[in-house]
Amino acid sequence: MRQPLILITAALVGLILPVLAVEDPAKLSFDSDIKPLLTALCYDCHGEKKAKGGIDLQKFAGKRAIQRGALQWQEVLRAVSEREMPPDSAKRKPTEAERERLSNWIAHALDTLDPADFPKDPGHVVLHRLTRVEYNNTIRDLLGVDNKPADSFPEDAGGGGGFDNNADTLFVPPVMVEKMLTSLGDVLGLAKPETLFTHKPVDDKPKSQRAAAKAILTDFTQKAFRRPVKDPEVERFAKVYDATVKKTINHEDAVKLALKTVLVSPSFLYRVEGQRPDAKPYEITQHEMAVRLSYFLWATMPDAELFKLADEGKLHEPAVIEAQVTRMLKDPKAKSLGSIFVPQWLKTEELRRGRKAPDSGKYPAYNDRMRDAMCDEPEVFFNELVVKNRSILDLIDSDYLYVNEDLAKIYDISGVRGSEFREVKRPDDKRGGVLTMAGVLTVTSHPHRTSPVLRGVWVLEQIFNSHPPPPPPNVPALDDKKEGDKKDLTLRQRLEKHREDPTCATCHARIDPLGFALQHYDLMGGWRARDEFGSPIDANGALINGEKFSGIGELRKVLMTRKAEFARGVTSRLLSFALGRGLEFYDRPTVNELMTVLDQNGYKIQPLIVGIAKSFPFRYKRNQPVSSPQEVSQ
Amino acid sequence: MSRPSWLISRRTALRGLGVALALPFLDAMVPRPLYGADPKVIARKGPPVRFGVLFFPNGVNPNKWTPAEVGPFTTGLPEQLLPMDKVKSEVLVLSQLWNEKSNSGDGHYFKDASFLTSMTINKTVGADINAGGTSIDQLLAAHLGSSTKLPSIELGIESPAKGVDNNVAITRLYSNHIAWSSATTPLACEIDPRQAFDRLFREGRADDKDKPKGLAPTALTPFDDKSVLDAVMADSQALKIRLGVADQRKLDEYLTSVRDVEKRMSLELKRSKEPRRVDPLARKALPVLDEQIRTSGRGKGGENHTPQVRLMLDIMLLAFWTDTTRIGTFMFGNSVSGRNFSFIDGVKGGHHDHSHHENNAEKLAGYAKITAWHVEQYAYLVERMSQIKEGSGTLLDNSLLLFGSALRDGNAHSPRDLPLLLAGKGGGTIKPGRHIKCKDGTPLANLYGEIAIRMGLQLDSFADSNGQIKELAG
Repeated sequence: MRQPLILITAALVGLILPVLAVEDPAKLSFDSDIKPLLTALCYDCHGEKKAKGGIDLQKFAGKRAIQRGALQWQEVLRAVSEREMPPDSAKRKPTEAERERLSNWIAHALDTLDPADFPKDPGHVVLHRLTRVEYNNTIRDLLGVDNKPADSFPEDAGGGGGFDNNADTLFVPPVMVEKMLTSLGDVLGLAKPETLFTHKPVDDKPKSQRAAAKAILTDFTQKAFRRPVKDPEVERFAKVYDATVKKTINHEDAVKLALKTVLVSPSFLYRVEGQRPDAKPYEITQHEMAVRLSYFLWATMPDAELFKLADEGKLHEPAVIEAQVTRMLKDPKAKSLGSIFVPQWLKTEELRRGRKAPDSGKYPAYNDRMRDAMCDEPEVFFNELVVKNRSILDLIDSDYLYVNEDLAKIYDISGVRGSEFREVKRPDDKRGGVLTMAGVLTVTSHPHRTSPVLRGVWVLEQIFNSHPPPPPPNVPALDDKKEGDKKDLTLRQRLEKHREDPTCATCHARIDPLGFALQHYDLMGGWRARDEFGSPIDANGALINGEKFSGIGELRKVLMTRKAEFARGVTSRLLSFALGRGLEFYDRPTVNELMTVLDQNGYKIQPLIVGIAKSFPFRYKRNQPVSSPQEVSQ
Repeated sequence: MSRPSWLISRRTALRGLGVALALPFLDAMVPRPLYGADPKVIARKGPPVRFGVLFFPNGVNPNKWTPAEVGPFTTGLPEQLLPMDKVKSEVLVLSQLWNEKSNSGDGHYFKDASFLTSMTINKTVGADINAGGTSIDQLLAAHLGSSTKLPSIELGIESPAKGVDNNVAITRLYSNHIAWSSATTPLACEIDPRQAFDRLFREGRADDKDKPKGLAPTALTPFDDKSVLDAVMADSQALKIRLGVADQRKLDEYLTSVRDVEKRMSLELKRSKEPRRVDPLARKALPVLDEQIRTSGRGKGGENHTPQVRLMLDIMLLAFWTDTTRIGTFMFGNSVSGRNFSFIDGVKGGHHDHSHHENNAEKLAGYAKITAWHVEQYAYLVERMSQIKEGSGTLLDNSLLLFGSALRDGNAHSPRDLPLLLAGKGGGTIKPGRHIKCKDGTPLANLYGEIAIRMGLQLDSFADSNGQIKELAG
């Protein structure tokens, strides 16, 4: 069985810097612009005469050939853009402009490949262990106990696709098994008897107690495993009951122990999707669909209505999916989108978890309460966007904001009292959208000063999902201005000097102006007239194509002229979150379809979310090789 | 100290364990570390030897680390080592060791994730996570760990970094782990002192006074946890048939952990019949530390995290002292940690930022101060262990306490001439209080081989090891 496309390493959607590029790679020709570069830089070692590492790039005679060889060229793109290739020992090294031209063109070729050249692929997703948050929520909905048992588990250290729900990066170390056993004891102790003992024995005879236990277990296992269960499966858990009752423990305790076993079972701890001996991707089952929907939108198990629709076999109908997503987004449980997706996307998670913070000596206003307000704001904003079905473009620019008293002080808005968030009209265009949120401006600063570079990179990465390559080695970094050193240049002047070096200019000419437009915001997001070195703020900038702008208002306008690129970025992130994996080039058609959905619906977010739920990778599973009989021998 | 109640079992034999787990697929594909197929466990007399690792990210200021002279410290220590002046007679400075297999990929993740494996990690954004091999601490834990309640502990202080580092296209998962129980299984650090303490020392579930919610007593008795695990194993095998190979691999991780816990339960059951010998002074120290943890808050806010670090080091100390485990790792931070060290006079900003000093004098000075702070914490633990009597010597005499970073200079990111300190006498087999300059290019893995044999495990070789470090004995 062939392993389709599993070797892909980098998500293609927006790998480097297509945004604000000097030249449009679509207008370059392979023969006159690209082939000469490949000849000068690559073919000597990776060509017809010599194919180091078995890699012959010369055999790809044009764009189409390169697109068909996407697997290999994806690796070429990575090596070129990360400066691995050509190696230090190469006779001829590319200039930065050449490197950029080559990588942008390859990225463009791969981005525009014809999906018909490849088999449709829903992607690599393995058995998904519930994250800590998902585990807590699921216990809450299953047993009505909200004591957050998973908080005692080791923290999830997920990575990949940028989100912590990537199943490849979720493990079950022994310590987690220990903590599960302990905390489930607590959970079952706290659960109300009527939740646990859904069937009562008719009398005290062992036979009727056994029957009641079995009935309880049948109901419970279905719910806990989020799918119909067969009798032998339940019987395995009933045996735990039998063995326990024999040891003169009473009926109810024996039931509890059997329930605990159900909860320690992998069918509860993992989101299990069954395998089918099928050569092609196949549509997941009704109950698996209910599970995908509920963990995407609610970070918890399906509710009764989803269960019912799955039982009735209706969850494959597009109209039903749409109705369900719309219903689910109105439920308070959908706030998990804000609290899980947003902080990882916008990086405010680093503030929340304390990995980043302003110097407390210099910024005493930054305390736990302020930190929480800063982190809450984008989450509240996003959740309201979802509930009110607003346009995702509001994330760039909105005439409203959500503030509480702490934030209102930073934003210079009067009349807001208390810690509750409320919607207010913005007083002026200094605020609106995520760019000017205090949490974002703080997480993109150093502990002791703002950084136009960090902010510029944030705009490229978080707004456009575009990743600048690492700086070349041996470039001097900026040092902080020494106090009282009058001869020193301003930060802007020093960055400009930095950009005189063409090696640096490639990226920094794109990064810095975006960051400088945000220089009016201090380290905690407050408005200022002078920077921390006392220089007056100069928020002018120019794009690489010469387009000039000044300050946040004009920056937003510039961003809005590239709203399609922004929308693509957000769409890719949200899709990646929904699928629990990074995106690959075979996801391109799905992203394109979603872009059309956005375009036709005024960029409103609910149709986008519905579109993701209806998309091919969300509803299908990649075929995995079936195991040999020995491997599963019992 | 009494046993945690969940370890009690009324059953004497395990059932349903006749299941041979298939080797996880990836393990089979990756070159195994070259340690001997059948490492020999050597019985030794006297108190057991403990092995602790204190790892710190981002390297050191290379100009102010290595003592100029080789041998005993007769002249003053370099600036970054000054905080250990008081305990220098207990410490070895080891220079010129290097971790060759980490000398590729990027500047941090490749180095740190393989600090204790001495293998090359697989570059990935998420799928196919692989550290190349089992880390030395876990190899020792697997062979020797059954003598204690826990085979090893993994402690940390920084919440795990998430997502992909797009600068280098590597999952940040690598940044959070130095302990690997197999090439594909990282062991998460416990970063909450409360959780760490309770797991090691408390009977039954956490009696969490910070969250007064009056847990209803559950009548479930803990022997039952073993029957829970038995049943779960059977259920897992049935489930496995329904899965494809990639999913089965994931399930194997789970099964390995379940078996591990179950095995420990039965070991603990056997041990529980013999009285446990614990130093009465250690028993007295436990409630004191418990109280300190209770009053320390939850470690949010305040940027000076010295108190949190001290709590974790105290936990490691008590774990060794009470012989609850003999192997422990502690991570001062994750790879590329940008933790703000402005609480130190003369430091302005984050750790990683300082490590990229570009030979700027001000940054180098701050960088050295950050390193010195780390050495100071290490010296604290060394000193405390040296004050605890055990047998005819001290707890430290019966320990090997390694302190180090997986790269030397944060500006150059090279795993050559790593900054390493080793305290303790390893049961009387090491003569500390010196600077040992190894031959240039000596594999770090040679040191791990030396540590293993002092712990009682004879390895033919480990990773790229190629010999001994005879100078350790003096």
